[in-house]
Amino acid sequence: MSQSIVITSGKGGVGKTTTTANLSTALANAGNSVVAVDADIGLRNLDLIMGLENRIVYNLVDVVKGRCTARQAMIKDKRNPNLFLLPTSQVDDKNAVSPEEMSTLVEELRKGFDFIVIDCPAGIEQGFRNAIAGADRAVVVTTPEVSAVRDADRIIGMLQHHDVPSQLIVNRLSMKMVESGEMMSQEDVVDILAIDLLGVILEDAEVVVSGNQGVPVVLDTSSEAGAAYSRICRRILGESVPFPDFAEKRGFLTRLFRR
Amino acid sequence: MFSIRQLLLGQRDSASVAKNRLQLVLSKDRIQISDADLQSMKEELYRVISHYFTVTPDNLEIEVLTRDGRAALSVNTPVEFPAR
Repeated sequence: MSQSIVITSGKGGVGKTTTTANLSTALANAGNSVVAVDADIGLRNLDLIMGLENRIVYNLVDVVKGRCTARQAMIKDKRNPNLFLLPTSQVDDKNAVSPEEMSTLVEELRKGFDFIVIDCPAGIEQGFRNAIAGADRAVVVTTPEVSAVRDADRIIGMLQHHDVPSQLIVNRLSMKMVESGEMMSQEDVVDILAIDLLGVILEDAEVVVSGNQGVPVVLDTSSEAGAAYSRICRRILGESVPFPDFAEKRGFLTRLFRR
Repeated sequence: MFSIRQLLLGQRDSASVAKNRLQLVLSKDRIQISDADLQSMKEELYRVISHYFTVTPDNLEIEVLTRDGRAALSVNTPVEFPAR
């Protein structure tokens, strides 16, 4: 049975597109057929993060308006033949598509894919309503910063209102800052938002490098963020994966002297 | 700045890869025409050019170059001269 997941956050710049690219890649590498849908009309970026920017011919708005078929607009990933990208339009705006049209599109995509992963734009306006229209479940991404958490709370409320169950990813956590008491921990964030935690991703410079290259960081399992995305993918697939104790990774002496 | 790996293996650092990819993408974004229109413009240009040269549609690059506040449409393609 096919599943559609929207990746959302409210606030911009917290890692929605990175999360969409990495979870889509990980789900496809686990043997599922996956389409990553860029719903951020006018601000196309998922193609860049996936390294497929030079292959775009048609886009989501063309599909919805009947100018081409979904098959024609989808781009096959360079590495995994089970992974496709449906890019968005760079010249239209969020009002080019209605929530009903997005629902219809997602229903059509269900016929061909195990997973439809939708990259939602920032904000709570029509772009958000479009992106969640066909979603079975939502992944809310936040960072441990006050503004991101506040916006995540608003988004969680709106998702509840639309009967879309949601889970949380805490992104860009710095254990060093958490340990020195200068950053909220993942537990703090979960306490505030009162929502099921799907995963924690530590601050990792490799995410910038992978974005530069257009190669999702999850393909580099030696990276901290890549390993975190693999764990999140397995949880989405229903596996019970324990949360690692990030503090354990510090050296014994460092911990001793920190006390 | 080059690392030893970059010097030995000829790999570029990821920041210059990023800059290069962005320049390519932005040159397309700045044309401000839809993907479908860009595609049909490419097809029309291909048809015209192929009357005179042997070209491959996939190699046809269209971009907008901006310098000193002015923009120029640039069409770039490798050509093979027809055998005489």
